[in-house]
Parts: sequence; C-alpha cells; structure tokens
Amino acid sequence: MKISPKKIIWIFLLFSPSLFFSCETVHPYQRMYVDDKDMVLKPVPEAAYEINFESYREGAAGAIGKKAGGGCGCN
Amino acid sequence: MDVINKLMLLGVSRLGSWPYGPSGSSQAGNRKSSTKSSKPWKLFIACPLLIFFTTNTTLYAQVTDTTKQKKPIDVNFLFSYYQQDGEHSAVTGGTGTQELSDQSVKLNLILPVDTSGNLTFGLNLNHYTSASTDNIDNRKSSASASDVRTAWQLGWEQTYSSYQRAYSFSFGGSVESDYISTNFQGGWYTPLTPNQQHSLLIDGQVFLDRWVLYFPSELRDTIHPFITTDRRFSYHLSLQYEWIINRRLALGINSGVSLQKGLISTPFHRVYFEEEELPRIEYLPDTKWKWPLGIRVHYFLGSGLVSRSFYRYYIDNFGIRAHTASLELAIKLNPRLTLSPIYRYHTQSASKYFAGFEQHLADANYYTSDFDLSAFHSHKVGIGFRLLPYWQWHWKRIKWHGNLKSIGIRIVYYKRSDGLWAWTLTTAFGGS
Repeated sequence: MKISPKKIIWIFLLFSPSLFFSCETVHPYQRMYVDDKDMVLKPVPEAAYEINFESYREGAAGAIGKKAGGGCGCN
Repeated sequence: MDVINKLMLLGVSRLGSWPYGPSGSSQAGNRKSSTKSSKPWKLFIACPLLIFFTTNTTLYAQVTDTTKQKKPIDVNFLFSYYQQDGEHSAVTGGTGTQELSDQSVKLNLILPVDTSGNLTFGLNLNHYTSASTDNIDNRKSSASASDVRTAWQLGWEQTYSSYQRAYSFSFGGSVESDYISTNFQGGWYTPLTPNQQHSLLIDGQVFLDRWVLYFPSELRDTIHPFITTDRRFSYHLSLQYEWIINRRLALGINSGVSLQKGLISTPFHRVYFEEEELPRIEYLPDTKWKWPLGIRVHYFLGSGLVSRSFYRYYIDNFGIRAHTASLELAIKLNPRLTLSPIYRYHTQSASKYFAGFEQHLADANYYTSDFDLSAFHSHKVGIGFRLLPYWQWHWKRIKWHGNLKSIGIRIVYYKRSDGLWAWTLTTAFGGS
C-alpha cells in the first residue's frame, strides 16, 4: 500500500502541535500540569496487554516502550 | 548557595534543639536564642557556633530521618481477559477459525532496598486456548486445546539523586509448551539540561529463545532442509527523547532498531500451493530487522482534560510499511475519577512473502500465509476508568498495613479489515 508524501506530512502536522506552540523555560513551581499522571510520556499500565496483542496480530511493533519481538512464539 | 541558605535557615529554626534534631522540636521552644542578644560582639562568637551546630544538627537529622523513614513496597496487580475470532488461521494455511481466548495475571513488585536502590520483581501467568496447539494434527481449526505460559523478571533500579540519573537492569525468562525464552534488559535515563526539560532514555533488550519443534502431522516424515536451527535471537535498542516544551505540552520521540536471527518462521504454520496436494511448512528468511519511529504528544488542555496522541511509522526488511495513530483523552471528572475514551487506527502493507490460501507459486523462495503479515487496516475503540481510592487496611497480628492507591479498568474492541475481531478487558490495582 502506498501513501503519498502529502498524507504523511498532514499526519505529522496533526500530531505535532508543538510546531505551532512556543517553547519556554518551565520552573519547578510551574510543573503542576506536566507532572500530572496523565502527562507521563508512556502508555498507561492498563494498556500493557493491548500493546502485546497488537504486536502479535499486526506486522508492526516497537516505539511504544515495549519489546518489538522475541520472548514468545507469537511474534 | 541554595544548600547553604537552607542549612542556615534550618539552623536558626533548630537552634537550641541539638542534639535531638527534629524529634526534639518540642524542647526547642524552651531554649533562648543566642541571636537575640543586643551586643554585636556576641554575634562573632555565635555565628561560627551557629554554623557548626547547624551542620551537625542537619546531619543528625538526616541520619535520624534515614533510619526512620521506610519507603513503601509498590505492588501492581494486573488481570486481563482477551477473546478473538477470525477466518484466516495460519495453522491451516490461511483458512479456518481463529477463535482464541486468553486470561492473564501479572504481578509487579518494587522493593526499596535503600534510599536510591530498588529491587524489582515481575510474574506473569497466561492461560490461553490455542487453535495452533489443537490443530497441528488436524485439518480443521478449533480452539479447544489450552496452554499455559509462565514468565518472570528480576531486576534492579538505581537512581543518582544528585545528577537526577537512573539506570536499571533485569533478567528473566518464560516457558510455554513450544517455546522457551531467556532475556536480559538494561536501561539508562539522564536529563540533558539541569531543569530536566530535555531528557534521554536508552533501553536495550536481548532475547535468547528456543523453539520446541512441532511440525504438522502430515509433514513430520518429510525432510525440511531449511530447518537448520531451533534457536531465535532478538536484539532491541531504543532511544527515547523527551521534551517539556512549555507548562502544558510534552513531546516524546522514540526510535530504535530491532534485529532477529534464527528460526523466524513458525514451524507448525502450513502454506498451501497451487497444484500441490500437501502443504509446506512456513519458510521465512533467517534475519529480520525492524525500524519503528514513534512520536508522542501530550497536552494539558485545562479544566481537567488531557489529550494523549501518538503516531508511529514502521518498516522492516519483510516489506511491511505501517502507520499507526491513536488518540486518548483523559477526562478528570473529579480529583479521584478519570474517564478515558480511546481510538486507534492502524494500516499496513503486506509482506513480500505473504500470499493467501493456495495462492503461492511453487517456485517461491520464502512463503507465508499468516494474515498478521498481510495488508489490512484496523480500528480500536474503547474506554478506560481510573479511580484513586483512599483505602487502607491493617493486619495487626503481623503489624502490617497497606494502601490501595489506584484502580484502573479498560475495555477495548479491535476490528481488522480481513475479518478478525477481538475484545479485551483489563483491570489494574496499584498499592503499597
């Protein structure tokens, strides 16, 4: 399946709003939002099992903080 | 300078309480402060004494705090139920039911050994019904057979508070009826800037696996010259860069490379060819590399709403090109309850070695009819709940008490364009 470069760029821009926001220095007393539990840059613990079965049932794996193959006969 | 200022303030507040430290604070107020004297010459005597006693008071307080404070043992318990069905079982050459159910129990423990080191332990038990296990000897697929997989992991985490760095390593293994695995893992985390707005995580994993070779019953007496080993080795290296862009926005970029060598194909998967009565065993190259690139963006929208978006691009040498995108919202209904709707989309191209039932050509060098390697797109929808209860329990006989910190429940439905569907229920309990 081929995806045009334009679609790839739109997908990247949709999921990279950081390009349109300004960066700033965040002091320790200003971290009440980024230190929230839901702001941690990794999947929630309840999603661990889903990530495993997605790697078994799909040809793609990795980049999620989990192993990308090996450890069982399923991938 | 901050450390010196804190020491001075602590010394003034603790004046008169040495050598009792913070526990003797009730007596501190009974003593008169020498700094209240109106004669300046007394300051030249009092200041060095103040500094000396302050330092010793602080050190004593630190020793007292270290021996009294006990970090709790973190316990996480996870239970999952998974069910699927489809019409393209790889065991029967890409046709037949893929009905399967799986129950998983996982326990993770983090045991603090000292102020900077933790011992980690994980145990995972999977009980699943497997069409593959039941139908290696039969033509028709069914999900009546069952199997159990046991996995364990033991490791160590070490933090350096002065540099805000941490490293971890672990080893473990797993056993199931047709597969044995041993693994070693290591990780290193370091901030790239003093304010920790930029940080880097490097993670490496090695899996040393061995198949227990089971061939389809009708092919056990034939020769399989390409089955030269029962081993599979997997090497993974990943790097994750994290950037706190501003007070509400965080960005993570994860990439790495994976290499697998050995018996990549599954020895009991059948592949049917045109004009051939008997099938062949699935045959894939003995080397597979993968390169995923993931971008994660989390934004605190305000009013208790957090958006968690993720995109991944994937390529490998089997010819698969894949795009994955997901969006999850964390809606904080109140300080204790969070609701999370989930959506995920995945699309991939077929492996160059894939063809459907009886669609392979006889002169193909490598071949598989595993529809997990075919071209398809999939959707996943679901919802999650997380509750933060304030529950404690005490066991007086052994003087033990614990806290239930969080309860998570997550239900998702997954549908693939080739007809495979699955749903899973996961519950997670976190405590100490």
